[in-house]
Amino acid sequence: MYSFIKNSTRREVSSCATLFVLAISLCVVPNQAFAQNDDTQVAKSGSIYSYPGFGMPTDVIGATTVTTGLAGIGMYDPTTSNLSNPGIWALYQYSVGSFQFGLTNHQAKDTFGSAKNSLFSLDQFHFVAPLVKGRVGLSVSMSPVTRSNFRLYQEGTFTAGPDDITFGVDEQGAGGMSRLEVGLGYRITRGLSIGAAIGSYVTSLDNETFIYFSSLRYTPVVFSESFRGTDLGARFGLFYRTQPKEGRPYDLELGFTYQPSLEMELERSKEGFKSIGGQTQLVNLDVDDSNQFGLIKTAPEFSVGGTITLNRATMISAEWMQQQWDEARFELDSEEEAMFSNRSKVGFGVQYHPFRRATRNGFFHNMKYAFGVSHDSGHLTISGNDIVTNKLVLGLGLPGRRSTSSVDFTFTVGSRGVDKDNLPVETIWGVGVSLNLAEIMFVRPKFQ
Amino acid sequence: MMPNKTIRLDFFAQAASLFAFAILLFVGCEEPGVVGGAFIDDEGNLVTNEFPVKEMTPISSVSYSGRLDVVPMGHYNDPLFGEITSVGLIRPDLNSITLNRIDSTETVALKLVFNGTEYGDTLSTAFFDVYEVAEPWRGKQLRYGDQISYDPTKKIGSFAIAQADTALLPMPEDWIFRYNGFISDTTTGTDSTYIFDMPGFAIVPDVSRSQKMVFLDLGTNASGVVESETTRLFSEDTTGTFQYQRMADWGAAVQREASVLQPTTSYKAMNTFEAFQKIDYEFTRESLVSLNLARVEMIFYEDTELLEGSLPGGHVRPAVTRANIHIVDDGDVGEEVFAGSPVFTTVKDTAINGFRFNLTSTANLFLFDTLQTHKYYLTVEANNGSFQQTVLHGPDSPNESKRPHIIVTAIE
Repeated sequence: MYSFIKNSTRREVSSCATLFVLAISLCVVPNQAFAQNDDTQVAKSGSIYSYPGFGMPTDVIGATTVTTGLAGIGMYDPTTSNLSNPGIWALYQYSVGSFQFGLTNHQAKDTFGSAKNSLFSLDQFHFVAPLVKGRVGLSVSMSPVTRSNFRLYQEGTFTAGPDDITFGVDEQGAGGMSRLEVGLGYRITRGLSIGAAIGSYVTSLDNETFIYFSSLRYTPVVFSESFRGTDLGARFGLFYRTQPKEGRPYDLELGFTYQPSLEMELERSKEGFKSIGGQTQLVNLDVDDSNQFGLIKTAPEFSVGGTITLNRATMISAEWMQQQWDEARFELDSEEEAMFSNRSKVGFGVQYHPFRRATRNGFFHNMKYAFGVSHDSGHLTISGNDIVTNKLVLGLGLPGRRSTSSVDFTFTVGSRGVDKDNLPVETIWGVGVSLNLAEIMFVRPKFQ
Repeated sequence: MMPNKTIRLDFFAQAASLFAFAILLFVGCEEPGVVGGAFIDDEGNLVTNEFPVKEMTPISSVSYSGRLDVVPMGHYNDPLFGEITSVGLIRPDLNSITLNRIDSTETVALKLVFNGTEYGDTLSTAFFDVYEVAEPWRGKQLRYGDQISYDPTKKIGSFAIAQADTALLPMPEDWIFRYNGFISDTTTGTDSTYIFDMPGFAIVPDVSRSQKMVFLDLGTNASGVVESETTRLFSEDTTGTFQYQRMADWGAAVQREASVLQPTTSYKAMNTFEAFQKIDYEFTRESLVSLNLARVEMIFYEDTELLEGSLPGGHVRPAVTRANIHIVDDGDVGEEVFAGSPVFTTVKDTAINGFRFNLTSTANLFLFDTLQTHKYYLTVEANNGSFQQTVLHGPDSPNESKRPHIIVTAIE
């Protein structure tokens, strides 16, 4: 019996490690690589609303609450990492890590037409190691801040001398802002802990434009536009939880996070192939310094969240996040900057983990169940309309039997946009996976 | 317990498989469509700009009229391009592959084949008299305006061209006798003597009765020429066997009188280079809008009103279907445009009756490299022996929309 367990544990560890290495290798590919448009990629386009500015804000979703779609500002689970609140990092007793990836399908429709886009995304990687168990924790992570993945096709007409010409613009964009972050959490009292993180923020946006003309006199125009910038940024978190007390029907956890805005100078470059004196050459299409550099400023963010643990198996969470997009800047395009508006998101989620109960019977008691709903006012206001996103997330988790690792699946359905002023309304379908790796991944357990 | 545990061991792999299956469901779902137009206004980035060609300066050159593709002959008084009288000149070769001597029993004739193109009154008949030329001439040295004398006492024959495109002239015996002497003479210097003693034939239009020009096809260029169907001196023996002699030299002695109509705001362009245009245009960074050009086009419009209004019913001019731009910075402009290759060539856009030159590459040269200042010349067709002539609206044309201009389409 011992022999079997030992062997099987090795196989499980090996299986986990393979996936983990694969995921890490995918995550650490330079951000620029993700930003390239490549026709061989199939699922590479996301929301059309990620077009303006430097992309659509991507919320940090801690593995703790990924099955509800909530950030997890106010929830600690010793077996899953929580990237959203630095204050929680102090509490871990052993190393945990997670990586999340998913596939989202956007079906957009407006009065002009419709489009279907699919986006495969490597959402985040997070690793927390206790430096002093339960007192000081170290966090290393890589996660997106904004994401811009779109493909749009527009048609129009213009008159050039004697010709009325129809043209089509096929524009594809990829990239966004990402952060590579290191942070520390420190537990001040039994219930109160704080944390802070500093990160290197990298913006890499690549747009490629193809313009086709109805007249054969016009050869198609192809050019690409890139935006690059880096800066340092910080996040702060505060976490409080009540201590279990005999006779109290519930435990309470509360979290607060704050992320100040950061300013970054983006360098814009534009290049394309041109016939010059009969020879085709790749040339820089930027003419002067006036439009080569531009400042961007992210929106400061404040979040608060709480969780009530009713019993060992049932947790109810609620969150509110506010991003001040009124303060955000995108100097390179004032029209797009003018679309920014303050964003507020509220969410509510319930998790049910029957495997934690003292008694569990049957296959279905070995799983985690969750659902969550959220309402997001969006960071864009177009023609007076907030681009609202509503989502329903259903989660299913598979905990490991002999380890505390788990795999969580999420199924998301939602909508974005309003059916007004010819704005597109997107129907969102998504599946996601979060691989949550607890200490078994990092230190082989000893069986005695 | 054992089997249950075995299944649980690979649950991570199962999870990954489940996710891979989900990915498969989504793969191929990309259908980019026309959405987002209400808030994404990229159409506005496509900008057009028009600016005029600054100046057209008429240039005239006396170009070559011999050894061209066709030989013009006839007479026509074109109200717009003047009264033209063209005497065709041809000289049979001595070095035929098949014809090296003529027996007295053979019939010798000159067969003239025309290419079917007419200039003038298509309903009229053109009359010609064929004489022996009285002075030596060389096709490569003939120019428009040259006159070549012929001997009125040595008339070979006459013919008329109406709808038919072929004329047949039997050769007189004394000419055959003299010609036989040259083709059977193998001594050196025969060719030079032949040019002086038998300079060839002058095909002279009867000016009083002819109101059109026709164009002799020499059958010299095209491969697969059927000897019996093109311009040849041929002999036929008693057995019905033919021998053919091609032309050694050819050309035209063309005289043109000034036209009745002299346009003031339009400009003549003639493939004979008797009239073509020096073009002045200028690119600036502002006029080209941006560095990201889609197309830069220069357009010249034909003055169709003048062209069509100046011709009586049933009269035609050979069509101009092509225009060229030459760069000539130094040297004789006429020589250069005749012998050199154009930098731009365009086919006439019949929808607008205009010539549209794609200058995008040149404009990019201005934007990204060093565009040297050049002198540009606009010509039509090639000097090929036919009279292809047109009139183009100029920068001061009263019809503003037809003035030559440059259209820039750029992405801002």
